[in-house]
Amino acid sequence: MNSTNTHVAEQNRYEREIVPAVDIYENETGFVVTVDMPAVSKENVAVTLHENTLDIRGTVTADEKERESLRYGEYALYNYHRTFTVGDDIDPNGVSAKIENGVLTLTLAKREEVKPKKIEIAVH
Amino acid sequence: MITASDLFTDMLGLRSIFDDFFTATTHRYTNAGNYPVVNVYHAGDAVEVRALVPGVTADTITLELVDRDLVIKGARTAANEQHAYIRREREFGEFTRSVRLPIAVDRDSITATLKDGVLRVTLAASEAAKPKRIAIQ
Repeated sequence: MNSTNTHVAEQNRYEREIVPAVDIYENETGFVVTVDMPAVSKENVAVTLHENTLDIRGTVTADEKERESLRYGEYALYNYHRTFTVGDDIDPNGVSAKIENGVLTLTLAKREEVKPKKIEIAVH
Repeated sequence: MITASDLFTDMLGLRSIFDDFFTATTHRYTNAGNYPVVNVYHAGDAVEVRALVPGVTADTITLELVDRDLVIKGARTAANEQHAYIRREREFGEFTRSVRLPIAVDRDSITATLKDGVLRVTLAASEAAKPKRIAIQ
């Protein structure tokens, strides 16, 4: 068996990336970003916010043996990667992340000074 | 040597190039009417069906074996109802998916797990589907 071919195929396999589907909405305190990342567990998620760039990565650990027994396939799993540019109104220290059932939820808090402030009207 | 699974991987890659070109969508693994996408594995007497169901909880999923088909039903509900979306690419709602199994399976030995948004259903070959050695007289 020529192992070189297998090696090259494997390289391609891991260099490919999936751009995951994302929902984003804004609420009173900030932005919520939800990302579909099936087959990614908590320890394999990396989220960084650096100079207004939000970088989201999820690593899929695939088992080579499983491919041998594949009879019918509609999906192939690769690592997930998606990048967003965020505005200056995001607090860099106010980013939190959780992953549940293969869905990553990021909460980006707005800076205090840009949050809507209710102004009390003084009654005389 | 190029194995069948290598060819398959390359074919999938080619398909995604066309998908990207014609649909210009980012969620290439959720095609409408084909949700959720599944892979079927078969080795020895065991069949495993995997489905990508991110955000679907186990209590909403029902599995049925109808003849040679595994029927997966479930629902995905949106966490956000009141706020307007800035970007909306994920889909929600009820789904039904029927998967034809490669062999006849034993109705009483089916197990399923749900982890990280991947549903794994393990099925065993029925006695009738197992190979039988025939003695030559």
